[in-house]
Amino acid sequence: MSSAQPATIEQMKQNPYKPLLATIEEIVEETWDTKTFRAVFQDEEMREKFTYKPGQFQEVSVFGVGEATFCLASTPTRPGSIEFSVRKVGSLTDALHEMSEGAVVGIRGPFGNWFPYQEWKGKDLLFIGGGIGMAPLRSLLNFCLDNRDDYGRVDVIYGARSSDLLCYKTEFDAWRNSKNTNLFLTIDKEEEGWQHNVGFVPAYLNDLAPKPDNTIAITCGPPIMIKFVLQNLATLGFTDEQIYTTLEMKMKCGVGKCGRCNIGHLFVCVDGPVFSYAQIRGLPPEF
Amino acid sequence: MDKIVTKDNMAAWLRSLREKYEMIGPVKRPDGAPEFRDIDMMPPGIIPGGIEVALDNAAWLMPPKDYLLPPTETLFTYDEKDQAEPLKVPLAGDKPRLLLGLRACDARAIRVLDHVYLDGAFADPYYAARRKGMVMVGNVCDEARWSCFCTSVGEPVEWLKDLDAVITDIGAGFVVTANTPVGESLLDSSYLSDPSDQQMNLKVAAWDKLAAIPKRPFADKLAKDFLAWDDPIWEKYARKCLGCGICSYLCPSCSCFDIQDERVAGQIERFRCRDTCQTCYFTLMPSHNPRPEKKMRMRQRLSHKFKYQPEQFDIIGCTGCGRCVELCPVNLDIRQALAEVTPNE
Ligand SMILES: Cc1cc2nc3c(=O)[nH]c(=O)nc-3n(C[C@H](O)[C@H](O)[C@H](O)COP(=O)(O)OP(=O)(O)OC[C@H]3O[C@@H](n4cnc5c(N)ncnc54)[C@H](O)[C@@H]3O)c2cc1C
Ligand code: SF4
Ligand code: SF4
Ligand code: FES
Repeated sequence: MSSAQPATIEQMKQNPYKPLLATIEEIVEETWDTKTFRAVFQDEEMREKFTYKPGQFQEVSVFGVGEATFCLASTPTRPGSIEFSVRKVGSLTDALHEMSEGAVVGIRGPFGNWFPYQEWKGKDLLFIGGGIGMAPLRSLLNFCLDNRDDYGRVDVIYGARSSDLLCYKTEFDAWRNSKNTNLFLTIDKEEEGWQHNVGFVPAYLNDLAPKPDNTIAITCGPPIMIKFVLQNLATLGFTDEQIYTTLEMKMKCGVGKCGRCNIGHLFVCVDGPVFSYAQIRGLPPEF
Repeated sequence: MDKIVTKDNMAAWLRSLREKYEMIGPVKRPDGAPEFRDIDMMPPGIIPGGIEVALDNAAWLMPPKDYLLPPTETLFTYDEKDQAEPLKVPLAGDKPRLLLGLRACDARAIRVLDHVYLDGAFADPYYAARRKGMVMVGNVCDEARWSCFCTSVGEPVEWLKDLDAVITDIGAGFVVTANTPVGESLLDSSYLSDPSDQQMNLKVAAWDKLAAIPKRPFADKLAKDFLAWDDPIWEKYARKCLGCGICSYLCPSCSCFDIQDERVAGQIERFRCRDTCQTCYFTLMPSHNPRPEKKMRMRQRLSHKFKYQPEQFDIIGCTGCGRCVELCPVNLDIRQALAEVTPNE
């Protein structure tokens, strides 16, 4: 619910419904149902001009099938291409999963607000992610690691039902090896060869018992995980103002016109998707 | 600026405006049913007569939003065989449009649509293109329909001021009032002359009559924070709702839409079409649905108009036009719901 206007580009201002054409350059299979796509704009100028902020999202077109909303999982500190991770759940996500490298998609964005990372300089950051909920957190995490000196200690708690459901495995080492950064992995059930924690994310959070002082907690994942993470953060002494998450509502236009994504008088596509827990408490219970 | 036009000269004046504008107005079809439509599409020489331009408030059925937001419209076409420019955006026509026969509530509805489509970081270019050159001419209702309640949600006489020109029927002729420079240019015609004091008095009386339409008792409740979230009336009113969406499709200020792709003649067309918050698909996501029950969707429709839009744009999103009251197939009456809803203390 940042009051600032979203950073955007001239083309989108002129016609926010007209996608920019992009080519899929790389597809990474993260899990059995999730792939990460790296897309490069066909317009060479756009490759450099297209910038965004961690937490923002885009509408991805598969022409003839439609569009769906995905957060930008890459960081603007690494320009030239954008990345988004897609869990296969329906018609458009199926079509994306069918695509091969070289295929053309449309991109509209960046839309929505972003994590108020400018205000977090000098603070410690605690990332708590579950499953594909790691996608928006990854953008912010890599952004902060690329601006490492702006932030204090960075702790990442990341969990999934099983080890094969963890995304971004190839980046784990880079995260661990960053200065003053810790990665805590957890899975729901015991597995052969698993050397990290076993247990649900909220329980692991309690075990690790991070201190709330000068810390911002950012969490994203399945609703049930978020519910208990919020409870446990409160018990650990985090205030509602120290906790941030992203909300998901059905979207079509992405620019506050189609009337689909409102929670009360706020539109998740323009006033969100990033909200502090203090803001969420003030919303009608309809999301 | 006010002018007078006689009943005999009215048709000639309107016809003269057609040279410059594409005219859309309320016409009575041969079967007597009124609708907003393109007057240019009528055979020449029959306005009025044959097919009558209906400058009374009977011509209310189709809302004027059809001409700002067509029921469906192409956002772009995509032709994968066209290597140079696969993606094309259709351009709006160039002859400016004049909408005739708008009532005060119709003007208000366009104000609501303007907020939704033009405010914020992104303006809607399709709406903006149609809206930009559009001239709005309206008329003062001679009496309230049984279903309407404009004075309960605002001040229709103030709403009339959003129109470029207003036509007031004073019996022996029409007083035409220009509110804008464009309106004044319409009045610059030999078919019109200066009104007498007596004619002006009749005009004022007609506007006063509009302002004096009795308010409903619920009018006093329409403060910002008045719809209670857990009110039992949501359930009560939702129970017989069919979820057909007629209330939204015909509401002059309902603005929600869907976006879909379609393959037409070898190319792909992305279009948008009207949608309604009254179906469960509106918010359905793969993971969950935030409004799975009818009572929640009923609450959304009323809250959007009477609570969220006042918070967002400082405007009540309902104009009291009565279309949803008259056209709901199961006779759900928004006025009854407003009368019964408990104010949020
Ligand atoms: C801000 C935001 C960020 C997001 N970020 C990501 C991300 O990074 N990665 C990601 O994977 N997802 C993300 N999502 C979710 C993603 O947008 C959806 O998963 C995607 O839109 C699904 O599209 P689809 O066409 O594949 O599914 P659809 O085909 O539209 O629907 C999938 C399922 O929904 C149900 N359904 C839909 N329509 C109907 C109907 N008419 N009747 C009955 N059932 C129906 C069915 O169960 C169907 O299987 C995000 C969403 C938001 C709002
Ligand atoms: S017109 Fe009546 S039945 Fe149809 S969706 Fe609206 S309230 Fe329900
Ligand atoms: S809600 Fe009903 S009365 Fe109000 S503007 Fe819409 S159609 Fe008219
Ligand atoms: S997605 Fe259209 S209003 Fe938010």
